[in-house]
Amino acid sequence: MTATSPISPARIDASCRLPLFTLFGGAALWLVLSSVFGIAASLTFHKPTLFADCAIFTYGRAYPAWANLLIYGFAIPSGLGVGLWLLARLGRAEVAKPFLIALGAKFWHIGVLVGVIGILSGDTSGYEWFELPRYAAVILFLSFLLMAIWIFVTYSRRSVTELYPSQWFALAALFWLPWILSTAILLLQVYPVRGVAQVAIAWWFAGNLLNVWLTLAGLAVTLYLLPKLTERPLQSYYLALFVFWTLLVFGAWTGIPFSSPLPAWMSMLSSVATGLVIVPVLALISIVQATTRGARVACGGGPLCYTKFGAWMLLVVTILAALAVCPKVARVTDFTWFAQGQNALRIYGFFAMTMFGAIYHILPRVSGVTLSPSRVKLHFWLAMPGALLLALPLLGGGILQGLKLANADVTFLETVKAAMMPFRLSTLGETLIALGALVFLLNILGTIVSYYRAIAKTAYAEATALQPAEVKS
Amino acid sequence: MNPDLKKTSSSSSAETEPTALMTPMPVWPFGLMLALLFLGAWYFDLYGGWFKPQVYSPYTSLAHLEQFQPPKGGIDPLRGRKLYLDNCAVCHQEAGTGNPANGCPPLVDSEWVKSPSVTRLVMIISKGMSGPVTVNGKVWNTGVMLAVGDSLPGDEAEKSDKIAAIADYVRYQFGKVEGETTAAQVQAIRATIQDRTANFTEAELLKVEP
Ligand code: HEC
Repeated sequence: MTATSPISPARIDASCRLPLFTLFGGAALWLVLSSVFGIAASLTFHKPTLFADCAIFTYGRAYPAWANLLIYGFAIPSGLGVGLWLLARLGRAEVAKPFLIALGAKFWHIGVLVGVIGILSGDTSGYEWFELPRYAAVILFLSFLLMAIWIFVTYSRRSVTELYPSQWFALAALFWLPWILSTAILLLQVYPVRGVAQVAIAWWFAGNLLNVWLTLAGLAVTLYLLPKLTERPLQSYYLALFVFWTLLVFGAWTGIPFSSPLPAWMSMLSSVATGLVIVPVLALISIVQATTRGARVACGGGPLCYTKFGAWMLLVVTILAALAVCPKVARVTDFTWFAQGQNALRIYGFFAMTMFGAIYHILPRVSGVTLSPSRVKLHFWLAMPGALLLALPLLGGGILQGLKLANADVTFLETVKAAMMPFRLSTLGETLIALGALVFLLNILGTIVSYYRAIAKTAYAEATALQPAEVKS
Repeated sequence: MNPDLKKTSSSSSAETEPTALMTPMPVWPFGLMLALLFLGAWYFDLYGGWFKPQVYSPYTSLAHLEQFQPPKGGIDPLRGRKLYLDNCAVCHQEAGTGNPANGCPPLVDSEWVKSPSVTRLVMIISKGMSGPVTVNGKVWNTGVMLAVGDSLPGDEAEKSDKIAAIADYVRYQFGKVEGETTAAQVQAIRATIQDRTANFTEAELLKVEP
């Protein structure tokens, strides 16, 4: 990288502000709402009649509302925002048309709102992780294009031409989503393919979304923040390149479970790919280790903590996923809570934590408002145990459930009951996550409000001309 | 003037972006990848069914699947069922319950269906039946069964083959009698009643070996 750059980081940060406020603010709001539905869905298992008279909180609506708010409401906007900032910063270019990107983000959030209203009123599409009705999915796709175009223009205006690994990941994420989303919209909702082909496509989409997209967006952050915060160079460029290509090549085939009702070659190919994803993830962990080894930076509940925890959770969930495609294991764990445990670990443990870390790193820079470290830490100590407490019981409960299901002497009801105790614990985890999400929302809103208050103060001061601009509050 | 710009510039202009070391790529990731690719190929060979669209998990190959197919040339339950649905179910209903509304007796548990040999059944199917008939202790007298068997499409050999399939299906499904009737058997029975045009009556049928 060039030592002297024509555009100062502060100007780049300022140009990111409007889009990032919109993306992150909305993401935090959806995350809170999502966890509310998560808790409602989870409570249904404790007492099925709890929401019997309240249609929107019944499981069939609360669960997809949770999942879709989490992915489309929280994950994609936050990943996109972080990606935008990384591309702008690393390319040393001001954001092109921040206003249009913010507008795209607004439309995106409207799409999510429309989608969740559709889901809650019973208009689900029926594909897991893609329950949004067609009209909402189309809004999302178009607003994504609007944002992606200008993010790409920002990237291509970069003044530093050599690329840093994070840029590949962020760019790939930028292209991957429209590809899979348009395929899913076309083949599942506009011109639905017939019969089992639907399931195959739905699983392919969900696999790419969770295993590839989230990982791309997450690793863009990991590879940036780790060297940045430890003030050491990334070790190394070629290893990161290897992670990038193997993740794309193998990850793209994952998603179809071992015992799916599809021709065996589909699920087996997918299983092989799931096993092979261990390769990029182990290489990533070696990058993490080599980069942070000997660095004397305390993580102190700050962004570094989040990033490291996220990377390790990615390793854990990748190994679990690889184990779960071994035939002997798969016959026990397939179609039990085990898969949900993996999802929880991947989304809350790896992706969300990584994003929280990145957002806590970025927000103070773009807003100029410092966040109190204790509130960042508080969030960490809610979200981290929350993710574990949600995921681990589900994983354990899934195994219990699977073992009982495989035993012909045990009635189905008993197998359901077997997972009850672990499930109770997971509700606790979900609650911690919800509290953490609330802290996250308050942190973000606090930043945005302080920023605008400072502006207002300055404007007032300038207007009354009592004293020169002084914004320290 | 943008308030924020002034304030952050001091802190973030000092910021440098991270760099990546160009140290050469270690060998182990490639080794690991090759090892896992090898394992994966072996795994796929074991379970993947080599892209045959008929093979679904838990079956692992076409050969594995063949082991679970009904023996070739044996009873094809689906063929008999289809012929039954096409030719008999209008009157006797899909479930073989008969239809009191048009005087059509049930086949379920009927002594005509369960009789030790298939002769009477083949005769009924071939030429139809009329007049009073007792099924499960109840007398039926209002309906007429047409010569369904004779009017099946095809030559004598094909007709016999179809009747055999229907008879096996009816006996197994409604009478719980297992057995395999050949087309030759049916043809032999039909040869004895070749020239007959009238329906059978209960009295006539009772004279035949059950
Ligand atoms: C047009 C309606 C009709 C069709 C089609 C028909 N049956 Fe019948 N079937 C009857 C009636 C009516 C009787 C009773 C005749 C009587 O009252 O003597 C009967 C009697 C029988 C009986 C003896 C009584 C009993 O219930 O066991 C058998 C066996 C039988 N049918 C089998 C068949 C088979 C097999 C087919 C198809 C190949 C068939 N039927 C097609 C109307 C029909």
